[in-house]
Amino acid sequence: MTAPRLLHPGAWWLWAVGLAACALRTTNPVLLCLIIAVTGWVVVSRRTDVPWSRSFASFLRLGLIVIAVRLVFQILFGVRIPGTTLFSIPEVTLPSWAAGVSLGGPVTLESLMAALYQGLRLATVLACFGAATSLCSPYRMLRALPTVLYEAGVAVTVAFTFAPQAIVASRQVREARRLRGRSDRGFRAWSASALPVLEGALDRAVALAASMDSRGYGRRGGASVSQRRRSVGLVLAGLVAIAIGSYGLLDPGAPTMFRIPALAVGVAALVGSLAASGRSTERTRYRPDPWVKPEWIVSLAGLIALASFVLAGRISDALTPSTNPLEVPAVPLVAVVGLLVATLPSWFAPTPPTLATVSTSMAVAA
Amino acid sequence: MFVIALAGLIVTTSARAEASSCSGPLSGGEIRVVIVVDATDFGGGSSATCLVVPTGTTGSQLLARRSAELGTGSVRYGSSGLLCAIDGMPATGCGDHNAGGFDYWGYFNAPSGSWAYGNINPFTRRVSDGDIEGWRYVRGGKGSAQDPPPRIAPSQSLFPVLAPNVPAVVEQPAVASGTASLSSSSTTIDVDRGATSDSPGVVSMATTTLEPVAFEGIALASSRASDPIIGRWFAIAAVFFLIAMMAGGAWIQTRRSR
Repeated sequence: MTAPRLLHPGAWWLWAVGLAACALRTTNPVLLCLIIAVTGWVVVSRRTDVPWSRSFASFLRLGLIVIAVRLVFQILFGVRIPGTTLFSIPEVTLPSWAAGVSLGGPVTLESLMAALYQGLRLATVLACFGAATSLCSPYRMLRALPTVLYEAGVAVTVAFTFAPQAIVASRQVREARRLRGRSDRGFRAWSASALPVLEGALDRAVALAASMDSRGYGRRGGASVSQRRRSVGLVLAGLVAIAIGSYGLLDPGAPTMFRIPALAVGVAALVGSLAASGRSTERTRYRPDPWVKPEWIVSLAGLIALASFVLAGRISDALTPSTNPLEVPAVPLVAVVGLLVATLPSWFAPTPPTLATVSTSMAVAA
Repeated sequence: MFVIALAGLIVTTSARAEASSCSGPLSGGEIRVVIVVDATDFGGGSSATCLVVPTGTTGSQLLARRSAELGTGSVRYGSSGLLCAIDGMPATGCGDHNAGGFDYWGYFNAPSGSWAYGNINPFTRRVSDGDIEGWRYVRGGKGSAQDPPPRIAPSQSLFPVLAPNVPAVVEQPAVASGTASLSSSSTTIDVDRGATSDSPGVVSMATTTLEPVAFEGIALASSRASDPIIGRWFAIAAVFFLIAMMAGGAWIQTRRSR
């Protein structure tokens, strides 16, 4: 048992992204439920005491809403997939220019199951994101980012801290409502607090970005204006290319052009930006997070799960069970084993320090 | 190949000789529609089938009716509602990438005597009397109106000539037994005069050439059916047992940490 410490946030993100990529490769409800269970289990065993570590439950709730919305949309506007009709809703005949859309009509079991599978997949991706958010500190993640991303300072800060800040803000808004003697449950409370929560979260993220800016984050020492412009342009182009490339990697149906080539172009642009800025700045890190054995185990666990899904997809078509005709989904053993490997972080990641352990170790040191 | 074509001709001739509702008079609420399926690019044949269906039948229902009439296996759809396979072609995959485009079943309507790319959802488009519907397996298509239409031209001569003096009483029992059985028979026309616009010289074959594929489809279906469903349920139960253990463990840990 190693001493309590925080795992490198990059390891948790790699693990979560690996599981999210698994979820994007399948519509098998059994596997999707297993992915959610794996993320939940690891989150509960390795989360910290900080406010945003409670965000996993919020993400699960958001996932339920996503599934419900997907089902309602399927019932109202979905493609009228033939099959076992459960019930019918009144049908509106649309004019010929909108003939690709259907409004109302018979609702079949097949169409509802297809919508459920797709909603569940999105909910699983949300659960993976929620797991990463609650397992590691967004501030440490910002610190661990490669220096080229500093150019996109505010955007990166908002992207990484918005979700955890929203969790913190929603707690405060609910507390405030309770102190004023209002209910903090139910739809009305929820709708009344939605705007303050979003506003508060964005404000906090932007304030964090501003304070980091004022402390020199994203500054490039003695670089000239033209050098800086060139490097910023390269960073932006590189980020766009990487976004396209990672989308292509995650979506098995994407054209080959949008996969490795786009990713390679993006990385090349980022490296080019480093070169363009002339490496004029020397940076030091204060107490950098180490990347040692537990970090390797956690990140590899996520990647092994992803590899098992790729393999399962090659072996059989059990990852995408047919909904028309409806069939009992088969469970590919390879994928299940891969997901069990993804639970390893709950034993091999070091336990995070709690307030209690921090005081004990300080007492020991004293 | 010649033998298959010959066999096709013979069987089709006998099918044509058979008196069918498509050449008989229509009762109320019935319409005659021809559906053309061109699987030549997949290695299948192309066929035109005349069907008598109830008014208000949609394009996809028509396709399902055709498969039922010909006994060629059910039409396969993807989870998004995209049509994947007609007559079991292709056996796997759905609108896959190929040569910069897609391999897919293109939907065509014939509003004015020539094929027009079907921009209307076949799930909602309702066919009317005398309509001709077309499906063509397109290889490397762009999914746009430039994709090639079925090789059989949508001419009204695809409809069999209405036989005079057929007593209308024949169809009455079928009407009584409900709309589903309204058209219990169909006519498949052997079209060897079909316009082969993009591959001249190809003699389009009658539906009988589909039979080997249909058998393959049935074999596939039966092999899937023999795949023990109980085993699948068992596997699902095992995974959900795992999930329950993790959820229970997580719940206990949460309780302990409070």
